[in-house]
Amino acid sequence: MKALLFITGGMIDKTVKEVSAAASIMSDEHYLFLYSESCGDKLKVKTPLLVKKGWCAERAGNPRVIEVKNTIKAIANNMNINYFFFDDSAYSFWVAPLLAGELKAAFISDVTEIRNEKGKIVLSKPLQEEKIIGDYALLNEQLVAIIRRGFPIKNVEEAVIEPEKLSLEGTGESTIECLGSLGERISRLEDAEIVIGLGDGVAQSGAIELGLELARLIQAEVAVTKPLVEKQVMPRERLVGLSGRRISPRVYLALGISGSMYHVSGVLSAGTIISVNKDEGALINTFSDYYYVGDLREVLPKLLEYLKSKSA
Amino acid sequence: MRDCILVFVKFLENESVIDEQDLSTIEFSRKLKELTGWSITATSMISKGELVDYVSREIYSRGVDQANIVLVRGAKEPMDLYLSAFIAKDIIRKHGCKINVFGERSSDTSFGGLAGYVAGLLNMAYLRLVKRVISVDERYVVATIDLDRETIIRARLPLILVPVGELYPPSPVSVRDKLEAKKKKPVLDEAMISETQRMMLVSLRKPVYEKRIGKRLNSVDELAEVIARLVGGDK
Repeated sequence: MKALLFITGGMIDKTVKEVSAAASIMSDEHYLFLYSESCGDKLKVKTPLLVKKGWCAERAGNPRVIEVKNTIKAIANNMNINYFFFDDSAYSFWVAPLLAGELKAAFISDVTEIRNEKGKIVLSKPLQEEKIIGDYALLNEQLVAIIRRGFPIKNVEEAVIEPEKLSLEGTGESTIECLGSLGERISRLEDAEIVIGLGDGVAQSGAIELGLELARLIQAEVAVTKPLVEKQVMPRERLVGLSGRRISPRVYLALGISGSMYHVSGVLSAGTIISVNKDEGALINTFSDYYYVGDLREVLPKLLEYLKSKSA
Repeated sequence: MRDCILVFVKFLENESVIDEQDLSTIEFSRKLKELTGWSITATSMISKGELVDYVSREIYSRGVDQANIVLVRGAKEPMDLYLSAFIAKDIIRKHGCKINVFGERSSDTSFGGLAGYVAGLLNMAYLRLVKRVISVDERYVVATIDLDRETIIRARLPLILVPVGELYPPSPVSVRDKLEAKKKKPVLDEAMISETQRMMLVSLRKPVYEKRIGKRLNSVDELAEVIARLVGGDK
């Protein structure tokens, strides 16, 4: 069976490996469709050998959801593809269900595990704000699945491919049309190597500006938890967690974050997690490689002073 | 199509409450009513008939114009997203509202896909991550969405949209609201499952999350050293 892998955003090589690892349980012939800002360059992607061919469409400023969905459908029709595996991105959560509905295919998101149980495919996903895992048996020939960031990668042989450039399929009279953007892209969280997460503890201790100053100093992107979006301190675009983005930076510095699974589920695949919280028993500490217990209002000025003196 | 707003509300039958996210969805719909003057119908799919009056009261107390309760017969709980989408599609067709509002991860038990799936089935315009609706006219909705950056989108009516729930915290409900709500009757419908599900829930289990070493740092200097070392690229 053939599978189409849809990847957008940064960290392409790693994401391709994760999505291909998921697809490999069900399919031994993969086709890659990248929707990326990197398409303009002579893009080369390291992929598992299962990936037979790749295409790349330029991801420009405005959302082109319908065109992306139509392009995926066109590739699938040409190649006779029945399985669609999407990466864990805001685009995927828009395009994938729309495609699944059109195809009347099975749809599942946040897939953390796939297994073949005596010929029956079972896909697992967290439910009820990560409190339980549901195992779903596939009963249909067509599947659209969004693979959770951090899906276990397999050690497989790899090759470098150069995806073929592709223009997105037009729509005639589109149901949605972009009239313009208000400002520049405000975050590149998924691509960031260093991310600082600001939680309600930062807001409560009045240390948001200090947290942002630290982010500028160490050139980190800023993520936030749900309460800061609800208080409109930061835009939803920076929300990390169950209904926000999942990220896997090399270093994640959690400031004033208690560690609800709603948020933690979005950073579990980070390389190293450091947390600073005034509560010794905060759940985030058990998911951290390092933690420090202290009041951010006192900790952050000292931290900034130390790091500034070091960089000077 | 009619000038009205249809909002899908998930009622958690085991907890006897409206899903928290859908309280925000109702709030968003009320803002939309202020802009358009269109009436709001809130629809909820449930399987237990004995809950009808209670669900109706909960919905009406949130300030919607009409509660529509759909009793789903022959469904196994939890319903496959595909089956939910088929029923939702029929509800949308029946009401014929120009704007149909869903919560992001409420009506479909955390899949984050029901609204899009229904839009795909109906070939209807679909907007998600909607921050604010700027204007609505005979043919179009203009709204800002939060994808990569804040973007202004024009979408053709009828449409399905999913607001950013975090921006619409629910208003408090008074005892008076509840008492008034009790006097109103819902429109009751039934839906039969006639399609075959695409996926079947076969088991539930507790997740095992990998915990880390969690080394406690004893001073801000030590914390600063760790940050400086890791940010610099060392292990």
